[in-house]
Amino acid sequence: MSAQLLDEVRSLVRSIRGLRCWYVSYGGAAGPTFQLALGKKVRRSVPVRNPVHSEEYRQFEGEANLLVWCTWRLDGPSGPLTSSDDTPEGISKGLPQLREAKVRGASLIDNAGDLIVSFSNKLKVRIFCDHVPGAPSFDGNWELWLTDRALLVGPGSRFEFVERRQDQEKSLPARQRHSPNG
Amino acid sequence: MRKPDIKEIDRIVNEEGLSREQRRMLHEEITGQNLSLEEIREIAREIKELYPNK
Repeated sequence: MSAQLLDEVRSLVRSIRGLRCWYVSYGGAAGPTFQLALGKKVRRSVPVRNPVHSEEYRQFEGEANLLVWCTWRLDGPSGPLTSSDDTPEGISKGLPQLREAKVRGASLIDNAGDLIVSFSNKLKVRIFCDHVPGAPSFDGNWELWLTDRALLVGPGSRFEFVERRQDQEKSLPARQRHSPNG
Repeated sequence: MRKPDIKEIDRIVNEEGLSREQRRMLHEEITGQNLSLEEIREIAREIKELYPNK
């Protein structure tokens, strides 16, 4: 990886400092993978259909959105609170505590792409890029989605930027079996 | 979703040819819901068909 690319990655990661986490998306078929919506609310080009989410989240995403596919741990001042290895119940008690907290710091801790995000309420999310080349269980570790581009951190210190199209489109058609009323 | 489960999601993403943006859309649509792998695949296909440019 070039020094220039690494500088760009570090700069982008630092840019989420000060942003408030206003939604935590987790659980169900997504398991321990999760996403944090940070900063201003930006109207989605495609609204989310999933009735589990709030109406606000179905219509808006954050100006920055941290999506984590790999192993992680949420630490409090006294020790670990939950992790990707926890039960769904444990995760559902821990992760929502990030809501309303502001990002106090965000930094890559090495060239492997591991990330630490600390919050104003003294919680820290440690993200470990354990999906490595060969036969990873998933082709991705974590992603930072902004309005115009995204940073994707894949197996093997693979840092990739992709441009985003923001054409307004309709949401997916309603599904019968998983509507709010059953 | 333990490692074997996420591997199944990865398989669906690859077999349906989802882009990274479409993969993120799939995550938004399946989060919080108890869905079978077949139902997840069905959603993946819908996303691919309806938003080919994402």
